[in-house]
Amino acid sequence: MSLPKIGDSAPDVTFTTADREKVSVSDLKGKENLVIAFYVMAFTGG
Amino acid sequence: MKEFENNYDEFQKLDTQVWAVSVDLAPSQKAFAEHCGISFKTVSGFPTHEGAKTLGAFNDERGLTKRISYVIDKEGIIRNIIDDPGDMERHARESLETIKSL
Repeated sequence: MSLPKIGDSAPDVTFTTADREKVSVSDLKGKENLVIAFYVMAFTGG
Repeated sequence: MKEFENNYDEFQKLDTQVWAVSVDLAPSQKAFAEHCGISFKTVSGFPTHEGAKTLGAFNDERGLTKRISYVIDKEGIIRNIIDDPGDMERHARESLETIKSL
């Protein structure tokens, strides 16, 4: 599987919030910029 | 994640959402976020981690996400990818610089 690169259209991935709401990249199209920051939780300073 | 929190006002002024993603269940993320005083969205791909896999941010061997940040503009175009396991401050700083340059 080839990974997305700078300049590509972002894949429309979906996540779940703590309130069990689904959020998708496409929800923000034409409205807001988005930073998706993957991190490793807890006790890592992350 | 405190690096993003410290700059969150600026991200908001620039019409930018920040989603912090880990492999954890959303409720435990929420507790972690509250503990750290994080006000932006923490989101989860649990249990399939499809989003992390699609974005090359899932470490199959360890079952954890990697520290990768994607900056996506309003048109849905990827403007920057920060892939750095050590320096979270760089993730926040470069993300903000990229958004400012749009």
